[in-house]
Amino acid sequence: MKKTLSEVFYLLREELKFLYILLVIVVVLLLLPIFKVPFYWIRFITNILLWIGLTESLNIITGYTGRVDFGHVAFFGVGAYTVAISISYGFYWPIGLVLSGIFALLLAILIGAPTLRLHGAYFAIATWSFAEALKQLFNVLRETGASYGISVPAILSSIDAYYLILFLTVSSIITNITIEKHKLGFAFRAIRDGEIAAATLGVNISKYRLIAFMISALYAGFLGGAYALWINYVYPGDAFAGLKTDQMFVMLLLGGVGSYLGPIIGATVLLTILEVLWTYWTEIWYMVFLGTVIMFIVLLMPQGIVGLILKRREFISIRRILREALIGQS
Amino acid sequence: MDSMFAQALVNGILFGGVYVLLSIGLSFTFGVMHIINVAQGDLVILGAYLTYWVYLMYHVDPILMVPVLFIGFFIFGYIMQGLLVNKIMEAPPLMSLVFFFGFSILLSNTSLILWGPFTRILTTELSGVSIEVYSVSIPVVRLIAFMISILIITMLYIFLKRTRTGMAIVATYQNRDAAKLMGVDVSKMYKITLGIGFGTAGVAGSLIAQITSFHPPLGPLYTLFAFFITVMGGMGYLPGTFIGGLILGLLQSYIMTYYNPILVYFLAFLVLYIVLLTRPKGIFGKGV
Repeated sequence: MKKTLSEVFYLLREELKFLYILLVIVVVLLLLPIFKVPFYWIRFITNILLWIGLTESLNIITGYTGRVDFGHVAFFGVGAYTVAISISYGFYWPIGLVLSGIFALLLAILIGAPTLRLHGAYFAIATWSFAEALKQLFNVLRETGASYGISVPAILSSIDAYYLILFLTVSSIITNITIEKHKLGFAFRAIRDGEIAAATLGVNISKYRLIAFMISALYAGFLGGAYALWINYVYPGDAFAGLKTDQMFVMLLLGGVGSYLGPIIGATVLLTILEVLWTYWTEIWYMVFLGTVIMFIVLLMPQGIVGLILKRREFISIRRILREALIGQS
Repeated sequence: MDSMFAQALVNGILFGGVYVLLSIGLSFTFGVMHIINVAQGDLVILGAYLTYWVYLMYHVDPILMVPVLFIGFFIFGYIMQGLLVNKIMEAPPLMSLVFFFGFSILLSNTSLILWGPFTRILTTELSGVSIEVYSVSIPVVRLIAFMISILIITMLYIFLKRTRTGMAIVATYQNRDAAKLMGVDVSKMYKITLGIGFGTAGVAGSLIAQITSFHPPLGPLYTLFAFFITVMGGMGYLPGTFIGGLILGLLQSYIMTYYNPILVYFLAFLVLYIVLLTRPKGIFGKGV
């Protein structure tokens, strides 16, 4: 059905509205430290931003490409350790940060090339066992302080760390938006929805799968590095904690899988709830809550919060609107 | 053959037998329903704690707890499949995987709240007793655990081959749609399958409580052990779990005897990873 031009512009505005809101939020966040916001709030927002970034990175491989990566924390941990080790060798910290991304990327190629051939649950177990193996390795490696880990000198102030994580997270969101609108995202989603069909239509499956995995690992690695610079202490029980993967999945599911908005909403909502409950609850009760939330999201709202919003707004992507308007196909 | 080597061999086989029971539920559930129960290890820990707790409070013999736990966990699984999991059977596999993932977090932390993070081991009158055979000592508790494990697996085998319900489950395993057309109540078979999966996990837990120490964080580790065995033997291929269980038991026992015990986990994960890559359908290639 051919749409009139005004209808097209209306629908475009509907989608752009989200982007405008995001832009305003980013500007506010950039100005935030100028207003002498209490330290507590800076820390809280930095944490939310970190998790948004991590969940966005998981979204690339799990949301768009449909691979359940239960070992995503491996890239985060490798990033954190790379920064810690390179600083202890006397490197300037930005070099350490760049290296953390590079190492995560290399690791993604190294393990992605073989494991991405595995399907569904097999891939999930393979990545999970790999992350656990890495954790156990760092637990026994004496060079990195075994299970005690290594401390990172406090080079960055909390405001610097805040800006660093804000920058990384915003770029991960931009990457997600770009992927969603770009040819790349269509290839990813085609692979997710039907690998054989995608291959038949000329999508180079193994290439695009690996690209998705690499981008995903790159951001997890960078954020791991930034985390090490922010927290100033790295040890296997934290850097490779399975809890980190768990939490990423809850945020992704809560927000909505396969949309750049999902991680933003999921991470913000979950961490805000957590912050409120933290005063009453211990970590164990929080975990019980987390597990229950996962089970009920899966049962009751598999599309996440984004799914609830978009169903009402009849959200349509720009590409589809343009195609409908110009070519007249639906 | 020196005695240390022989001792490690015996220990490996005895542990391997219990590991088979630990993983058979996972393999069975995957074979029939194509669902991966990542909470398997946490159910094992729950079973272990229940055995421990009941023994401490009421001095109920752990061996008497085996049928009780099996029935209790069976009902748990049956109800859970009926109420919750059947709703997501048609959804993408991601959903059930993540569902059980949440269940695993819930279970392991509930045990943490109820029983704390301390390492425990169940000591009964039989604990220190062992039989000496040619300078190799066989702990009686481990031998009993091994035999119970083999007994339950045999019973499961007979159930699947000789009873109508068992055959209906096998039919569902072979072809869900055909079974449905032949009048098999597939959703009921799913309930029984998850029930058996939970039941065997509970019993494995009660056996593990008697033969080794345990604490809640070990749950995910036992899940990975179960994965290891299932992947080794081929997912959903039940005879394969025997070989997988023995491999893991022996691997663990020899590394613990000759090298660093911490290395067990690293090497187990590494082997699992390599097997997944090279032979994802198990070393016999008979997995689903």
